[in-house]
Amino acid sequence: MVSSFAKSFGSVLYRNFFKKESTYFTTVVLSGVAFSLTFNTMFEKYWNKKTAGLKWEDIKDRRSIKRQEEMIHSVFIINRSGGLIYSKNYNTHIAQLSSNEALIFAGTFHGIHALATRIAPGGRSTSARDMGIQTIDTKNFRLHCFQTPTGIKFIAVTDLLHTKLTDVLNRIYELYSDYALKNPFYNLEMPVRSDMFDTKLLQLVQAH
Amino acid sequence: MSAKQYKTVGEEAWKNNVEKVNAELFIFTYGSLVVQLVKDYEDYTAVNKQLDKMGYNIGVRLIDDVLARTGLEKCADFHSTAEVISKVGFKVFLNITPSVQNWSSDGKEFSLIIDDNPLNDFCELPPRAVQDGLWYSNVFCGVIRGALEMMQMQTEVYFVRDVLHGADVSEIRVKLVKVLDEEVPANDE
Amino acid sequence: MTSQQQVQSLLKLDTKASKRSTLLLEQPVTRQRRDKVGLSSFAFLFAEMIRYSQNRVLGIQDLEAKLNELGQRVGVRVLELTMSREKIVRRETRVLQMLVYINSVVWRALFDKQADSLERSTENEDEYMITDNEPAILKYISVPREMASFSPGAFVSGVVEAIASCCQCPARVTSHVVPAEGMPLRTVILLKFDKEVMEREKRLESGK
Repeated sequence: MVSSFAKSFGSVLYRNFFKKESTYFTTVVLSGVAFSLTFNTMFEKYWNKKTAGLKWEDIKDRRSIKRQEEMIHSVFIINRSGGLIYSKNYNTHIAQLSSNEALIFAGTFHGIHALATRIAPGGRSTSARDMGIQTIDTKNFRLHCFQTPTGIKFIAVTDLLHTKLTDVLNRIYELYSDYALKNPFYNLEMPVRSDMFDTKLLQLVQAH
Repeated sequence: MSAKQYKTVGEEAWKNNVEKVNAELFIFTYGSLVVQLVKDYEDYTAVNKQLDKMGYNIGVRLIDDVLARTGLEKCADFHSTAEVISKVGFKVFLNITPSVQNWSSDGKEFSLIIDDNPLNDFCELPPRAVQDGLWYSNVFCGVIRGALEMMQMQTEVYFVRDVLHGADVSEIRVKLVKVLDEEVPANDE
Repeated sequence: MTSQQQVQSLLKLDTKASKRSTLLLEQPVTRQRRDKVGLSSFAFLFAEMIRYSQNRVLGIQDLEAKLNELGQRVGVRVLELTMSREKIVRRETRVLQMLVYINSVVWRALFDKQADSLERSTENEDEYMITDNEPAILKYISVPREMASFSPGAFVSGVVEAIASCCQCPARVTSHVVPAEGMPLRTVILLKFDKEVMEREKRLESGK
């Protein structure tokens, strides 16, 4: 039964499509196109199902959300004698330093910075901004330091996407000289307690 | 940096980076302060000293303001320091440029010649004040002394002559006493 | 020194100082010779004045009184200067005209802008209020929380008090910080006129 069906099918096929050269050629081409289309669609569907959530299209939107998380985590200001006069944390999702730890950090950093200035090779440059420690890189964050010619250090802890923070730190220096130094109720080398300074600094940090 | 470069720095900062206020308000306020001091102390030498002290408190803070706005670095030598004081410092705060003259032979003393002091604009000293030697703008001396101390230079700054006493120009003498090695934490006097 | 010698020495000084006097009197006053100084200069000077006064007083009221006194000397001179520049021959002696003069001419001469509003109090008819939304000279001052009722605008209230008394409308002038939306430094200068002034005003009004 099968063979006779096959024979009749074969003869139908032969008579209609394969007898003439032109129709034979067209059939082959069209069936090749049809096969490739079907195969591609089916395979793509299968592949998408298999690798859902792992491809670029899926994570690129998430990555742009992650970009909003790029920010300045905290700001510290250290005075001439190594005491901490300002510390503020802007990222509530990470672990916070206790005030004692922050003081110890400030004193330690002051010492290390002074050491780095002294052991730097290549002689002493006159630029205070190039002396000592400028950045410290770790796996999770980067610490930027900016020392003024008068010996005050401005430190910002950011994520790794920020490579250079000199203009932000310079702006913090300007804010410090405006809202802390011009405040009649601020004594030098003491902790900075000024609402205006806090507000302006918050605005600056949020813009970066 | 040459004197010309410092001049440009000062002028640029004055034009773009500095917020301005009416000069006469400033002049009258300073005058009111001096009169208050005269009333409180009743002795012109004590007033001189108090003006210098107040100038020192201003100077230790003012230096950071200049550095933050102009981005200047520590000066290589005392000559550059003199240029910065006259062409940047005075320009940014008072919009005047005193000239630097009368260098001593060892390069450690110089004079600032101010021919147009804004504080003198509406001021005339009573004869007693002239006789007892009140230096009306003595606050400048304190400011310079305080600012330089923050840059590790101990100095003596004093008035030599003043227009209000009848001279042609006002002259402030700045003398470098020594360079401080350790960083001295600042304290208000 | 005998009085004769004293007079001699003063006369000798006089020639030197008189050189200064003639120089001073020859200076034209009508046009403002010197335009501007840096706001930082004023801010530092003002902060030092507050610090100096703080060391000599025992409370917020006294501190405001000291600043008021410092402002009064400025007020007297500003009034004379602005009147001679405006070429006004008659002095304002009526309350409302004087207030308008302060609001516009004086504020423009001192702060390069007009005061933001002039109001009469609805509760007491001898009280008037001049408001400045953003006083530039108080920009950098943050009052610590322990002194929350202190208003550094007491200096400006001294200026206004002196002008009021020179215009024959003596008043008690105080300054208060009344923050509003987006204007944390908004200062209100409150003038409380003396009884005689209000009675005189009433008489002049009814006499018309």
